Amino acid sequence: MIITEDILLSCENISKTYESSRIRTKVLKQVNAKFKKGSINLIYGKSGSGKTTLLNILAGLDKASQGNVYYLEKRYGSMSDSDLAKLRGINFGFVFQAYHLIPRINIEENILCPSYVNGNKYDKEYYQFLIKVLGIEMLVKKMPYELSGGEQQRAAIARAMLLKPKIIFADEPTGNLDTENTKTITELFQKLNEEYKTTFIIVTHEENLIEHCEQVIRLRDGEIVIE
Amino acid sequence: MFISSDRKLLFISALSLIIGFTFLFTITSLSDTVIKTKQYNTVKTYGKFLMVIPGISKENEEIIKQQCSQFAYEHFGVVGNIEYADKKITMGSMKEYMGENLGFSVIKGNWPQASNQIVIEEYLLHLFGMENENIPFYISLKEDGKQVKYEITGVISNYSYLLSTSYGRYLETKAYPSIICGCEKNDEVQQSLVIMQKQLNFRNAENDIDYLLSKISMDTMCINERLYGHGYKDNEDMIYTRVLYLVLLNFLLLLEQMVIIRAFLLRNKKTLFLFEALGMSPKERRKVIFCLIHGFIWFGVITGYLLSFLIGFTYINNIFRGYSKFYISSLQYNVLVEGIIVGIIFSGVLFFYNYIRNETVIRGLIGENSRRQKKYKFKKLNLSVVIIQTVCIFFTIASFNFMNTFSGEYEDIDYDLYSKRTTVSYPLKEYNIAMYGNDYFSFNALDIFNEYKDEISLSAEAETNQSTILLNKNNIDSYFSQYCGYNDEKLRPEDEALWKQVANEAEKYVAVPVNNIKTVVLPQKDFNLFLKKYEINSPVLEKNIDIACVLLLPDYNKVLLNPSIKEKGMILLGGIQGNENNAEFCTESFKVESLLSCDAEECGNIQVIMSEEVAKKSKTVLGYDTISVTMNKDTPVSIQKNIEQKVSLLMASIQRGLLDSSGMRNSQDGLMRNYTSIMSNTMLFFCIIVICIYIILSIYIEWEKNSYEYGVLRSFGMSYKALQNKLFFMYGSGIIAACFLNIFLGRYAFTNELLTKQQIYISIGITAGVTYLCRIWVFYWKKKQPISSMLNKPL
Repeated sequence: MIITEDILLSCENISKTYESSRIRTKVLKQVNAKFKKGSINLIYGKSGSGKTTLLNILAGLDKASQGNVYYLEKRYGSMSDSDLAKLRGINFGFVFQAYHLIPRINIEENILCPSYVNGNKYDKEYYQFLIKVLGIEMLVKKMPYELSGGEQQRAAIARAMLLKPKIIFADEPTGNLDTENTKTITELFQKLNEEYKTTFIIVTHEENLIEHCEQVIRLRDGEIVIE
Repeated sequence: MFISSDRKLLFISALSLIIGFTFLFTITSLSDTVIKTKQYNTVKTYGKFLMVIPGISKENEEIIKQQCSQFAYEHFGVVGNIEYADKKITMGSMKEYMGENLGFSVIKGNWPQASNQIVIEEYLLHLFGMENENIPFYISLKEDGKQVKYEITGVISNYSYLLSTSYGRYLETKAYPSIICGCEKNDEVQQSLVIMQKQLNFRNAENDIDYLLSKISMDTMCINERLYGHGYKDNEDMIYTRVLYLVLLNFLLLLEQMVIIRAFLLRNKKTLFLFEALGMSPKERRKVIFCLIHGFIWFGVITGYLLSFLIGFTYINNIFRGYSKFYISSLQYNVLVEGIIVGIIFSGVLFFYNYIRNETVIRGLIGENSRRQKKYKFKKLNLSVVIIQTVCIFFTIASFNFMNTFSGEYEDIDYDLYSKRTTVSYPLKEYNIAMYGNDYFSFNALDIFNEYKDEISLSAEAETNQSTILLNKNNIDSYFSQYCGYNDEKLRPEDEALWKQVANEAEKYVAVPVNNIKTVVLPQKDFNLFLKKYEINSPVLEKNIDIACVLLLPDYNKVLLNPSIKEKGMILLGGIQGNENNAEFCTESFKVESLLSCDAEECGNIQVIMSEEVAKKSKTVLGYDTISVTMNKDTPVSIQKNIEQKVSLLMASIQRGLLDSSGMRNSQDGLMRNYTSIMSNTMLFFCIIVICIYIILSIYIEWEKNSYEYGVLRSFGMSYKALQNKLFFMYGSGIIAACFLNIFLGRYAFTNELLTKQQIYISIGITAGVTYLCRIWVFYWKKKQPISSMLNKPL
């Protein structure tokens, strides 16, 4: 695969098969994709189409059964677990459908989690900016279960953005939110993309996000239907 | 089918339970078996009575019963003495059950029923010269001057001569018959009172005897000190160890079971809450948990029981032969007790767990928890890990310490026979006057060992009736002056009269105090070896030409001016002998063929050493006061038994005295060595298993419980290795903390200084090594789990 300067992340012939003692399920079949710097990309498809699996493989949270993923010119398969973890820590951010906040620590500690994990100091001014922009300034000392879904998701976004990652992987970020919150989050993504040139790879089955993105990868039964 | 448990967890849990219960049952049952068998043998050998008082009047008996009402009282009759070959032998009458109480074991034949039927002690068979007769047979014995025919129906073994082991408590043989007849009790037969505990209790036997002695003071008493000694004291180590190991094994097993239950409950928490949401009542939910956990634990108990049965018998057949009698009953008892303990503890634990847990269904399902934690879940130090590692290191060290207690080499077996001759003597000026002297061993006592010359070495301390070395008053050198003192005390009038009879002769000499002199007699073979050892080349000594001896003087300076005794010179042995009215001064010259110096610590007293031949020729040596028999440790068992029998017969033949033997200690030590070796190795193995299982299970629980959080951390850049390192930090810090705790514990627990530094390091190393092997195993166990699956893991 030829990688140009614009391409930040790419995948080549990605396949994923889940095997148990009785069943073999092919979730992804020969998926090829490229993601440019500073772009907003959607992975779109119905439930069970393999979007989350693809996202996890692109993010390095899972391993493909076949194929390769490249971040710039570095192939995931050639990296050790520690190198891949470092790559994730510095360059990636994650927003999950279920927020995945750690329930036993407060919101502030959740947001600062990437800093703790990577041993990188965070920009305190930027942190203040994030919690202000996301409207969770007054909530940072609270526990996750004390917040509503929208508030938790905003906290998760703050966490994902803390170390100014190059790519944010968002898996159904608005899946558990109402219309108003969905709109808020969508606008927030756009704003962060414009201001910080953060690349977004978003998994969704909502059609209203399509108009704002540069690339839509449609999956059906593990295969790309239209690019 | 909804209740899940992955196979590895199930396997580890089942394995830990089975191993735990198997060890617990095997160790405790083996210990019980050994203890009970030894106690059974004690009763069989020495009886279960505390005291026998012969010839007691009814009035005294009533007084004793009133003062000591907590004991049980029985009687047996003492018919009188019969005579055979100028020996008086006591005859008693009692029922067979009383015989068992008194330790009369029938080793051949049957207990007598009729008045003309008797059983006799084993040594009497030899005395009567009837070892080869078939039982029953008839013998004619002299009783009250008349010959009476008796039918010998059996042979008994009795350790009456071993019963009193301190010089303060003399054994009076009139208390103890050597022949028992089947005659009926009648008033003419003198009754002996037998005092026993109402409930046999070995531990209390010594205190009971002391209590009785504080209330009863009679000249003729027989005290069963062996009851406490062999029944409890010899087994004390084992009794305490059994309790200690039981407590600790239970503690370790309990910790393991807590971990297993916690893992199970954690794994199935959501499922059970879901059941509740779907309509199951909390009571039914508790019942499900109760039944599952108890079923699992009882599976462990039953499997442990079956395996203990197999393993225990394997041990018994190969190492503890002769100890199988009590194993099954001990095992069943222990299983029952343990089952009840486990049932109560876990019912209590589950009840308490359900009582304190007040999570609502919804919280249980979605896993919300209001407990705030500080930062992220990586403990630097975990108390339960510290406890388990402290206990494991402690028990590994304890195993080594225990092993060291009996790790010595087998030694030669010594028998020391003390004649306990009833010599009465008292000082008369610098001399000791011997008034009576009898019941020492005769010269031919050593003849019974002739056929075992190659296997044993013999020596004897001569009975010389208070004879000592007599030195010329005008020639006391600096060496002997340290020994000799002058007694200027005024004599009593009766002693004055005695002294006057011997003064002329006695005043010529200075007597070396008799307590500083030891006259040693060696059979020819041993005497020759002695000469060879000290490189004494003397035909006079080798061929017993003269009345010659070797003189061994502690720390003697051979370069003395005007020595009192010279090599190749003569010494005088002698002293004052007599009775209340008459005294005689006796002397005998011995040629000092060799004069040796020895280290005072090694040889103790001044020793006059002569051969058996010379001793027999001399008039000073009357017989043997003590006989020492040393049997080579490599002597075949069959010959050992024969020699031991000869020793016992020799002892019994004078019906007095004491027998001390390292043979019994050797066999006890051998048993203890095997026992402690098994216990130590078992404990060591169990500690290793426990720590493996505990670490693996606790890591599993930690992982299961926090998998989601670990997934989040990993997704934000924490590598798997970094995550595992953080998790394992507390195990490393736990070992360091455990070491410090063990330094503290060890100061109090291991005071016998038997442990070596290497053993301590090995103990720590084993625990640390096993911990890190588990770490490595768990590292690879969870390595392949994708981060995405960790994030999707329910709380």
